[in-house]
Amino acid sequence: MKLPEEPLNEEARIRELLSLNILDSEADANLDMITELASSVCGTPIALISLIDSDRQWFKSRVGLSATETPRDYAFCAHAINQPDEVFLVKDSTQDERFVDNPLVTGEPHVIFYCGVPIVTEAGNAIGTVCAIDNQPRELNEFQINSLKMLAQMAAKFIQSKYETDFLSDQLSAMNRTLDNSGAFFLKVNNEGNLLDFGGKWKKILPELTEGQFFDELFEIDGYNGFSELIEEHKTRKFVNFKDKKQRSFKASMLRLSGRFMLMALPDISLNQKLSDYNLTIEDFPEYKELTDFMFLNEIGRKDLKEVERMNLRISKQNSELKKALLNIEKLSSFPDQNPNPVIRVGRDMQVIYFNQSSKHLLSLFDIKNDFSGFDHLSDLVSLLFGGFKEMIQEEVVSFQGRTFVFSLVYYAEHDFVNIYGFEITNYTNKITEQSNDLKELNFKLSTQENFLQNIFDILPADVALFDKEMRFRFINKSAVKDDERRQWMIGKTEREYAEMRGVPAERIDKREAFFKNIILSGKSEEWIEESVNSDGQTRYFLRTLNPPALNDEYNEFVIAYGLDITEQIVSKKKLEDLNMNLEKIIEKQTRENIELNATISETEKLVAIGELTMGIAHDLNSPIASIRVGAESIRETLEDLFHGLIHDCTREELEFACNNAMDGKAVPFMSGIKSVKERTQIESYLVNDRHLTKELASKLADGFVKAKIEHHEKLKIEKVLNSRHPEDFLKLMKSIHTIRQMVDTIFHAANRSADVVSDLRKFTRSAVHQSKECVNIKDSVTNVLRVLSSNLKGNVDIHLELDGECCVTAIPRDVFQVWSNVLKNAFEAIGEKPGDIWIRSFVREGRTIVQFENNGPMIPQDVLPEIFNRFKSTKGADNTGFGLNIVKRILETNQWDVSITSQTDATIFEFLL
Amino acid sequence: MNLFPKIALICVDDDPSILHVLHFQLQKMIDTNAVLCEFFESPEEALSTMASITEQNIDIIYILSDYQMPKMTGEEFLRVAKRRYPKVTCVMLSGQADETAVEKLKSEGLLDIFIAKPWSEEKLFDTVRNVLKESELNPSYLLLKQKSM
Repeated sequence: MKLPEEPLNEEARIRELLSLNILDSEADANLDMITELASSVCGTPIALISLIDSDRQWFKSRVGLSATETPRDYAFCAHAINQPDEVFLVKDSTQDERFVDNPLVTGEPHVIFYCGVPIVTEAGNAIGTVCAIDNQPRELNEFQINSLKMLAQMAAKFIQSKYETDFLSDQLSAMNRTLDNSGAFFLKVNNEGNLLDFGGKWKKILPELTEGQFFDELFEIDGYNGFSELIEEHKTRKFVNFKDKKQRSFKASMLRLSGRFMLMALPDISLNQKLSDYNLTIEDFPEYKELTDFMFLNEIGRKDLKEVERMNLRISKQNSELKKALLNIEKLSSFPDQNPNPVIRVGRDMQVIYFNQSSKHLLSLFDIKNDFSGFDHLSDLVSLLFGGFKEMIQEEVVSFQGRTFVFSLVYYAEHDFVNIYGFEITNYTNKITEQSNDLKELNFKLSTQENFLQNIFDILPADVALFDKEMRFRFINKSAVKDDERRQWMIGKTEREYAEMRGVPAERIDKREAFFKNIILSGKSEEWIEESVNSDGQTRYFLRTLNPPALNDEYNEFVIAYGLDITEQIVSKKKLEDLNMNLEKIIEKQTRENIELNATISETEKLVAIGELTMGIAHDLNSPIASIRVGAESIRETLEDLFHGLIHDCTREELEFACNNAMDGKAVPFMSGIKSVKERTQIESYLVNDRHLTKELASKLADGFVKAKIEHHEKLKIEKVLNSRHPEDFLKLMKSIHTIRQMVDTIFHAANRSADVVSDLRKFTRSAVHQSKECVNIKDSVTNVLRVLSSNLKGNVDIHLELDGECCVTAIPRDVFQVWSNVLKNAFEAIGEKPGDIWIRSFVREGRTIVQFENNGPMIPQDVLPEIFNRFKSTKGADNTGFGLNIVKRILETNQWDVSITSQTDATIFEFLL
Repeated sequence: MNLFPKIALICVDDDPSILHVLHFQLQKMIDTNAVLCEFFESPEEALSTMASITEQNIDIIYILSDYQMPKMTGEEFLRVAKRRYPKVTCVMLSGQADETAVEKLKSEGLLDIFIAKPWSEEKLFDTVRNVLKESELNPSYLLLKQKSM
């Protein structure tokens, strides 16, 4: 079942409906006629005039139906009123999903067919319908539908005019009542202006009022100089305003009767004048509403009744609204006892007229018993309400002793009391306070955090800035901008604005902006080094990074910029680079110097070698030369002796004998001294003893025999000499010739020796000059070197040669000599002063010529071995410089020879593989 | 004259030619009956003979030695000789010996005179004469053969 919707103007509609006073009213003949007509014209058993109330439909007129009302939810008419201009037609409700399960369909009165036309008031509110209903499906023709439309219009007119008429008649009767009542305020005055009679109420207003008093004595008439002037205007009825001596105003309508005037007067109540001024109370005017109506009427009294009626209508509408409101309040106030909230009623005298149970506690809290004026917070407001200075309904929030209340104050003018409704909202306010406290705490925490973060950022030695997407500064730390004021200014400004402020040239600003935008677009972070000159004129370098917000991240909306002063690093780096460059230059220079040094050393080494060689040669030549000289000298001397005497005195035979003796194989040039002495003694004794010569002669001859190298056993020779003519001279001759022969030998040997030395030297020098490779015989080269180094050879070293005479190597002879001489020199030095041996071997092994130098000197330490070819590395103590082996290394490399060195105790072997 | 030599003069050199010419020169200067002159090719030989000489009560007053010799060097020889015969005059005759080494030997008292090869006969004669003089021997042992110079 579809529930009927509420029309948009429901509130206004209901108001109007209520104002018509038609609900629950008695039957109306006119409206009954309409339903009769509807039923007969449409041919339906049921016709209704239904009015839709807030929660029901009530039937003002009905044909064929006993029920007087149904719930609005089931009402077809409730649907109908939603389209005020249209006919609501349901041909078969059982086929209509809106109504198929409607209780009025399924049960009594079985509404199967429905046709309803809304009753629309002049104001446009559809207050109900005129409808025709059947228990079976049917249709209506055009005439019937049009008829229903007309009937609905008529019903609207009837209802409205009835209301107006009723209203009017109500008003009239009210007026009559008012007039009746106002009779209590009448004043009867004669032509002369004497007060003939007056109503009872005057006693209250003017207690001293008596009959016979002149009107003019009592009252002042507005616009007229006295009563006589008033009655000069001949009008049957007029309205009169007058004041009494106390300046209290009255309004009256005056009737001219024969010889008398009847004034129906009432106090003119306004803001400035209260009933109490007239010594009257509200009780004196039971129909106070009508009184205001009456007064209003008086204001516009000269207008048309129609006008009045219309005005009355408006007033009554307003009043009905007010009535409703008051009704609602009355409802509340009718059972304030049951109101769970406090209700207190206070009278004009600030006395508590009434209070409900719930307010007891409140009153005691504010320590109020009867006198409400003790309620500080509200008493003033109440007074103002009574004085009419405020709107009739006021609200006030009061906090007291930790509790909070909302008070609604309503002034009931008709009863002249103020109702105060209270509602405690302490809990709510507490909650709110709590919440606001929490909020405060949260804010405080947040601001603390913010401060904390700000501090951290400020302490950072790096510049940090946050930008939003439009490149506006959202945050800058102290390091980036030191001046607090400037920082403040910058927040919210764009990068551009800041740059402009500093006077940065326009193109740089544009460039920078474009750069930033690019980064943000690409979403990639960038890093670059920026050079800038600070306020002190220093050039500083900054490493800057810009980190754009990550895409698709709603929380990460900021662009973060960092700047780090890396001047020191850059400067250090530059210094380092310079240093490196310098270092390279230094190294270059050093290398060049090294090369020169090398060259110098080589030269020096050569010179040293030459020097040593020279010394050796000098020595080697000295001896032969001395021998030759002395030998030659001796031969000359001897020959002189020979030619100056000896040779003349000897026979040829003697000469022959002497020569033979000389040539006689005795290679020994001299006898040992002791042997000589022995020989001499023996010869002498033989001569003396066997040959019976004189001692003197024997001594002389013995001398001569020894000098002639004749030994005592050589008897034949001795005889020969003794038998010569001049034995002494003969002996001298023999000696001389012997000497000559010996000296010639000596000279010969010496000369040979010299030749050898010179030959060695030639070989050496030749090899120094010629640089081409030749086939060098190993054995020859070794022997050569040994000869050259013979001066180095001391007696303690024995050299053992095991050289293959056939081994050759193709090399520059000088190189070969260098290698051998260096190795040998080092070997000599290694062996030192002790007895030692050197073995030099050559052989062929696996196609390579091997030359070995072994010495039994001290072992070369293991850690020194690898370094042994390094210049300046020597095992021989601080005084020795290992020049030689370095040269050897170079020669080995050039010729692609290998060397292996093994060293153990007493056996060090340098093995060269050529 | 039947003199048995009382003093000895020793010459050592590894070159026989040198010994030969030394012999020739010395026998001109000295009466070989009075002064024993021995010539050796190596210090070892010399030392062993010198021992037997002294056994025969012959004073060795003069040693003439070469410097550069295989096996025992002149320096070593002189060192031994001086130890055994403290009073002997040592003369070095050498073709190769640097100044420092000579000075060193002189300062150590091992060497009295140094003669470089080739030498002059007169120089040699001077040394011999001085030695003989010093030994207070009969100067007739010394044969002055002026004309041989």
